[in-house]
Amino acid sequence: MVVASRTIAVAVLAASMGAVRPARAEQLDQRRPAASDGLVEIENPAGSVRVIGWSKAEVAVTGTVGRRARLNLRGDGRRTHVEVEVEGNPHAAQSDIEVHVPAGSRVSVESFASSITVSEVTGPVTAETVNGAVSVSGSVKEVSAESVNGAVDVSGAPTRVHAGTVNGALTVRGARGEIEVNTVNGELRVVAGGPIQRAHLESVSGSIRFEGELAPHADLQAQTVSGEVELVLPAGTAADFTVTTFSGAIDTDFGASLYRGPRRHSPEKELTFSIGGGGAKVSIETLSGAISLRKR
Amino acid sequence: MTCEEVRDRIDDYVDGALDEAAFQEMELHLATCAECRVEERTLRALLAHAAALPAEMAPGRDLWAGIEARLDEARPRWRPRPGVLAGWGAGLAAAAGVVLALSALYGPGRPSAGPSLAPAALGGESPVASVEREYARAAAELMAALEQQRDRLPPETLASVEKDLRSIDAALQEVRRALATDPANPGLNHLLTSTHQRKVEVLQHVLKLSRT
Repeated sequence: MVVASRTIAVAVLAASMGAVRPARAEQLDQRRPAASDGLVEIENPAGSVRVIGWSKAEVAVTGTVGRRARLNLRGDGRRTHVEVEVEGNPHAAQSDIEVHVPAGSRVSVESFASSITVSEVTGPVTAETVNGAVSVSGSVKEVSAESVNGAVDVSGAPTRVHAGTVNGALTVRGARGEIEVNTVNGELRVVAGGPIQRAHLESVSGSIRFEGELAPHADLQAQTVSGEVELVLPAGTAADFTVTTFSGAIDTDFGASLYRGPRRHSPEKELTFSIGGGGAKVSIETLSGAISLRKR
Repeated sequence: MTCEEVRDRIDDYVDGALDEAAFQEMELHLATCAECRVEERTLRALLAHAAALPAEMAPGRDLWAGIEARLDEARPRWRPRPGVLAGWGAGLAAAAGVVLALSALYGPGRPSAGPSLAPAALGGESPVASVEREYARAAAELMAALEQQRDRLPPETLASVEKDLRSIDAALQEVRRALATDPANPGLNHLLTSTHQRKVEVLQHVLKLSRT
């Protein structure tokens, strides 16, 4: 009788523990109906997140969740929330999830230590992590992507990009329209895929390289403390340049009409000139980083 | 003589190295241009201040003790207290306040003119020096909030973030050294404040995602 009671108690305890959180990695396959242009919010503390746009009006989540973690998939169709919930320290469980979303969805991914990959989504995408790389590709139009310890790579033909890293490389390829990118130590590379209307490129010590075409009245600003700046522009560019460095060097393929400094009490050098009759505004500013302007 | 030409020759002017014709042109311009007059006065004041400095200086007191005490005040106890998020929110609010203050001083892009550190070096605290102090306070509060979460964050991540912050601090030092030689330089003042802003943004980002 005593043995039977113990057996029942152990069984009840085991069943109740299992109902709260699985003790080991669990395979996922969950789905919900979702609007073709709804909001999909995804949170995963650690592991990886892969988001893929598809033609179905449905959000589907596959993959695995780590120990003591579970998937909470909820929403009303217009707004779907995909959250990996972890018992205890959320950063201790590695969960690798793949989320299919309607291609036109607005997608937001937040993580602390996950790599994030987004592809085939056409709605606006926001992806943020601390430890891990972020990659956004496909036909997305608006991208906001940030990582602290990881690279950020945006490709396709987005018309609005906001991206940042701290020490990872930051690469934007194919963008047009508006670009705002910054890094602390990482290498910052932009290769535009069409006319740029507004670009703000900023680093603390990472190098900056921009290659692309400027729209007629574009505004391009590049600023760094000690990184090098290289701009590669088409020979037929029409722009007004203001290039300033406190102690770096300036090297240009475009010639210069006004060069000031260094002065006796300040080593600052400033180069101002126009090409192609002017129009777009280009401002570059460094403390000690070298500046080079190249013709493509 | 244009403002640009004045800026090119202002060093020679204050050093008395212009010929008579150029000197007269400069005087004429300065009599009618307030902006160039400010630059001239700032440069003269700086040179006078620099000339008055002794060859070597020792600090009048140990400044670090005061700084450390302030950091101790801002630093929470090791274990999170109830209402941890209130502290986190306060840090963000302080940072947001600083960002707003910065925006008022220096909007997007390089300013054509604006407050500089020069007056602080010569007397009272300048707006930019004040903003720098506020940034330091905001960063200290955000660091304190991050410290509260230390036991639940991966140590290697914290080490990496601390390394990143040190590299930003090194860049700030580099800008300050340059400012010491050219305090009125609006571009350098802009670099100083935008680098401070970057530091605060990094801390905000890490704190926000540490809640994930």
